[in-house]
Amino acid sequence: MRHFLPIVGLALAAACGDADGEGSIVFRISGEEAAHTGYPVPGDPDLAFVDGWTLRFDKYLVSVGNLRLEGADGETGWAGKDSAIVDLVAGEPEVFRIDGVAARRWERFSYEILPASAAAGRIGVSNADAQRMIAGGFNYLIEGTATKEGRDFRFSWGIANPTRNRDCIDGQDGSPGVVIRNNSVSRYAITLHLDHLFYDHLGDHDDADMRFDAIAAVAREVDGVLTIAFDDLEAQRLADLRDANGGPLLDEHGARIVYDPFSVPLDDPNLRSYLLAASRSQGRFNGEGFCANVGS
Amino acid sequence: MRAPSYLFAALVLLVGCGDAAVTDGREVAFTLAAESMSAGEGGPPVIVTRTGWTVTLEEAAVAIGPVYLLTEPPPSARRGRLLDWIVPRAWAHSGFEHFDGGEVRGEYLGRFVIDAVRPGLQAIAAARGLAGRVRSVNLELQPPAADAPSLRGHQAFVRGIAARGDETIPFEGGLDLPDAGAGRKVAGIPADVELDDGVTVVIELHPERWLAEADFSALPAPPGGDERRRIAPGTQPHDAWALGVRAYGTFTLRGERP
Amino acid sequence: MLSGLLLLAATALAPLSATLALPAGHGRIASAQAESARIESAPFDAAPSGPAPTEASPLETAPTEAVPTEGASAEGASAEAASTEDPPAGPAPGDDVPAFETKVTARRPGPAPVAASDLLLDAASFRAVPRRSASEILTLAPGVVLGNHHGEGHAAAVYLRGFDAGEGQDLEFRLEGAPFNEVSNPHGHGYADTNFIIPELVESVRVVEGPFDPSQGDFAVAGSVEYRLGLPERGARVQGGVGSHGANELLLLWGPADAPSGTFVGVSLRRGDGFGPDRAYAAGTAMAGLAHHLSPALALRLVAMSHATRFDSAGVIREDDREAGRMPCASDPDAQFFCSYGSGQGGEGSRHGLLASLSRSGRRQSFEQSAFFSVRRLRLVEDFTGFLLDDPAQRGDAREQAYRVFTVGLRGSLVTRRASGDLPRELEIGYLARHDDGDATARRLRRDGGVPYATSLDEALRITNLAAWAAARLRLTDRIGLSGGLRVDSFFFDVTDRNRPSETRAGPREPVQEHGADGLALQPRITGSYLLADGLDWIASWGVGVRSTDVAALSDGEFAPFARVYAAETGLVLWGGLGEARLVGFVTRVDRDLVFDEREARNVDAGASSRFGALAAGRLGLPARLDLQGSLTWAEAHLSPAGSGFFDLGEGPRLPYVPRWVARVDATARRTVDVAGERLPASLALGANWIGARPLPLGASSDAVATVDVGGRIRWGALEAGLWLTNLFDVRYHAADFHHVSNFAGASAPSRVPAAHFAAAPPRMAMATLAWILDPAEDAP
Repeated sequence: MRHFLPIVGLALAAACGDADGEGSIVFRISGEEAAHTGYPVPGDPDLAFVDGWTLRFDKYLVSVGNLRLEGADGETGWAGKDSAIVDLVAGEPEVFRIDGVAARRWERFSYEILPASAAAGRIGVSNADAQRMIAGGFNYLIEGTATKEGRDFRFSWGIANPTRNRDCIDGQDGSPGVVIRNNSVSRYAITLHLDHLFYDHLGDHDDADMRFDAIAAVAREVDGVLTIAFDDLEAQRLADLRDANGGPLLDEHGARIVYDPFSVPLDDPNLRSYLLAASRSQGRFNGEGFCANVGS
Repeated sequence: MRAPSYLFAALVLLVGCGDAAVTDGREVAFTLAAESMSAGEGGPPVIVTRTGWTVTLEEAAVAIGPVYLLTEPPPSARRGRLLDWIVPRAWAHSGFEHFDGGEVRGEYLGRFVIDAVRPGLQAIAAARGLAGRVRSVNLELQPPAADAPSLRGHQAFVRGIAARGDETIPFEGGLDLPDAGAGRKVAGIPADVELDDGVTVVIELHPERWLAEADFSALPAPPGGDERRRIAPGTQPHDAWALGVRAYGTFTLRGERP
Repeated sequence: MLSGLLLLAATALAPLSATLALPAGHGRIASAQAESARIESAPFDAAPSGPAPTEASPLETAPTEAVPTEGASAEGASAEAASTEDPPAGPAPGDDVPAFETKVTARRPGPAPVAASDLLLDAASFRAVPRRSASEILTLAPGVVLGNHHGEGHAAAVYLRGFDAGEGQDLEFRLEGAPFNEVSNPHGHGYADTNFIIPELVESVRVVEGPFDPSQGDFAVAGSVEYRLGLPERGARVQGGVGSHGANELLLLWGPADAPSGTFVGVSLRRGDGFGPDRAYAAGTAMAGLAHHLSPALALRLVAMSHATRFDSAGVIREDDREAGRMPCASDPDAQFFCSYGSGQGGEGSRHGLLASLSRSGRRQSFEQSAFFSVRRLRLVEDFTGFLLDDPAQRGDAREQAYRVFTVGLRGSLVTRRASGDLPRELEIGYLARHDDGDATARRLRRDGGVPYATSLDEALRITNLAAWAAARLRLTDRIGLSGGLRVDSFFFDVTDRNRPSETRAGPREPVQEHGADGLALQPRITGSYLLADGLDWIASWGVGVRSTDVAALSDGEFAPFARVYAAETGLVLWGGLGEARLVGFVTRVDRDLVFDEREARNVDAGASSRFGALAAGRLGLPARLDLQGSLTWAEAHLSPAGSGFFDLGEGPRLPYVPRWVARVDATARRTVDVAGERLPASLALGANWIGARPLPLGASSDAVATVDVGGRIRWGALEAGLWLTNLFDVRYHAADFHHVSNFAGASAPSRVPAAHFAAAPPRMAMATLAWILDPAEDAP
């Protein structure tokens, strides 16, 4: 009997859970090199406009939050309502830190690109910009200059296409979700592929090209500066893209350019709706890790 | 010490007997059909395009196949707002490559030509599938195996008269889609059909979306004394048609119980 | 000391008597030892301080009667001469007993049973029942069904008590205590291939159908299997066999006369064309063992083995292709049934190893320490889907999985015995240290020519498993016994992933990356027993079993997850003079079954499942005449809905493929027959299997399958002729069933609805053997 009780005690103390202590996790957000260098990205021939444009971002504000860590066994590691507004051009800041999470793999990681809110933290974001995003319900605020043949076109777009990016795969090793390590800080990056906004079709991304002519065609002069307003893009019909002179938009070989959305739902087959749909898919994880992007 | 063991044995026996549980799934026989939703009862369909043209379709047909009925809903419906697909919402899905439609509940591997002018159900085939909910459909627009006269050798064919104000333009044309990538694929058609014995799954075609963005004045005048203008590759109506034939909302799905 | 006394008591009295005075101690121990101690003579110099043939006894064994075994014979007189001074108390020559007897040395007794379903399968007694491989010996255990979908050189899949244990993923396989499940084998984590064991050298197999003993380790989810080698029949045997479909066998066995059963040499060479297209095979195995007493209490055991095989596999075929006659073979139903798509499937493997163990038994303390190492290489090519996965080029889906690993390990246990008053208690501590170092790769091969075109896995792995356990076995009263303990398994994973991309959006990177992880699992186990009457025990057990994870699913620093099973079992075990019987009920719940998805290289949580059922098994042995064994097992397996508890039995859909009812009968009859005036020892053996309708996907169920195997032998002088017939009634049935999408026809628009696939089980096959037996007592001719 003397030996029996300790055995029972040990048995009862047997860890039925699968966690090994607790750890912390830090998420930074990144627009990759493109956020800093614009397009073309030096050294990568795929990340360049095929119609001769160069583009620089002055600001790329993202409202990101509502991170969730869930296990495949149904347990929830974290389901917070925190969000932050971050400027990707300013750097790749750490946006969230979660402490005291059980040290195990959390197979289902998801995050939202959500409408900016007053409660959101701000990193590198001015008050005015934050107010503009909150007022418009934007989740992206993109400002920059596109240049072709010496002419500059400025744009400042507030984009409202909230998305939940679910079941993210870690782009570094292809495994699902995140791993928290005991008494340690795991570091992950929410990666946004900014080039998705400029793809010329929404089907198979492998052979999509980056184009800007159709977008620049709606530019108007405002205070002496050629400006592209986001709402003006409604005038561009995907099936009837026009150049700045009103004629059909042709590519470098003289063929008509068509932006094919395939079977992705659009409110209306115009370029504005198209860009809203295209930029939905830019949320990734830890490099090229795919997330299922769901409209929220 | 003895009672618990007998109790346990009895418990095991009681629980085990009379259990009729079976493995998941059940094969069912269902029918696949198509219907053109613009074909009314009286006369050929008349469509008003966004560009202001009133189009009367004399002939219209498209070849579809294969068709796969899937278990997973398209992304926009996953959050539970099932009716959202009636009003098209912008998805974040980037095309076929990452749309995990789940498992296939039923399929049709052949080719069928939908007559977009004919009203009523057009029966495609009797098929076998697995009982359960179909939440989305992937269908391809592959050319028919044998020449179908209504298609005039193309994958889709249309013939009609477009009128706007004083202009009247008779037209006809054939559409051929490239096989590259997602060129012939329509992915993630939302559905909510309970597949069971005797159910008819109807692929609803909305041909008004084909030429909704077409500007018929962009068609070059026909050569010689030919009245009809051809919707030829390289013309704007052809591009509009190519986008429209695969666009979200051109195909919808419903189920009819027996 | 205690167990030694028991042994002496058992052997001094009529060994199979049920009326042994049961001392304090688990009743079953005495009977197990009694049954298996069919000792004919002391093995060496039978001096009073002579070594004992059994592990547990420090004292010399008393000489007992000569017990004849099937088919073997030796001069009774010469046996006497070689035995101790006491005459053998065996049957007199006037009895109707075969005149030729082979010396049989003692078989080792089993350890104390840890559960109602702890069985020691007497492989030697049922040797005459046709069994073509060491894994088929497992069918002597109740509820075991085997299915092999991939050919002669491939491990058999085991179904046991509601579990589809795969090819070892849910069943711990050990050889003389050394585990041989292959960790992180790309074909299946836990793959256990028994083809390196010569079936004729298996003396007994200990099967525990559940995780109830702290010494059971990784993969003991459905239970454990331990092969114990030995050659009870002494002498030399040279046997050749010719069988159906070009099967040829050569078997050499040698057991020196003056050595115990643990000293043996065996060589087996087999080849054949296979029972259908693409099933040819060739295999060779050599095993040698040495059992030696360094001192009366200290025993040394060495086992060496070498095995290699090369085989083709027919893979699986679609049921609808077979029905429609579309298979690329002749159009008659049999040709279609056994046909193959011919995708170059098959493989080769080899295993070489050495095992050494030292054991010391004492009155108050016993220990055992063993060391083992092996080199293992396996390459398998399989194709389940044809042309489905390689979009859009569809070069072919054949998957080649290669695994090469060097395993080294130590295992040991120490048992101390005390007595509190009249009640003995034992404390055991034990440990296992195992290190596997090797490589695993998985590639896709082109259909034409088998040229690899894509690599999906390429890793170097170094996995260390360190486990320790502590257990106590107590008798609380003279009727109530309690044993239990705790096992801790720790794993350390060190992986070099050589298959990372060299280009990313962020720029170029090295394609080789290293990472490591570790894991820890605690497994408590407890068993209680109650002696209801003489020879009747009621035993109840509960335990936790785990299966570790495949390394390919782990990330750096991850706390490795485990699949965890909670098992409970209770039953009655009756043992008596002529045999034993048992009636057992069980419940098992797997809380989180991790299934490794090879395509995505990650663990998929297959969810919770529950299993329950009961079994009845019995064994009867009439000495020198008949050995009979039968069992009936009922098992239910369900996928548990979310939120269900341990006792929510029967909820949720059935798991497909798991047999619900299994019945098995093995029988061996021995007698002498008169042929042309000579009295020749002969034996006839029968193995009959009945598997009830299995649930299949979509609510269907398969037909019940009954197969019968018969074997007969007759001996004349030094020659023995034998004939085996397996699947006597030539039943057509499936070795394995699957349900998935495939496209073998290469259609451009393939069906994407899951369809039924199967691998055909062998038809009736015969094997005729002729053996030349050299008795140890005779001079060599």
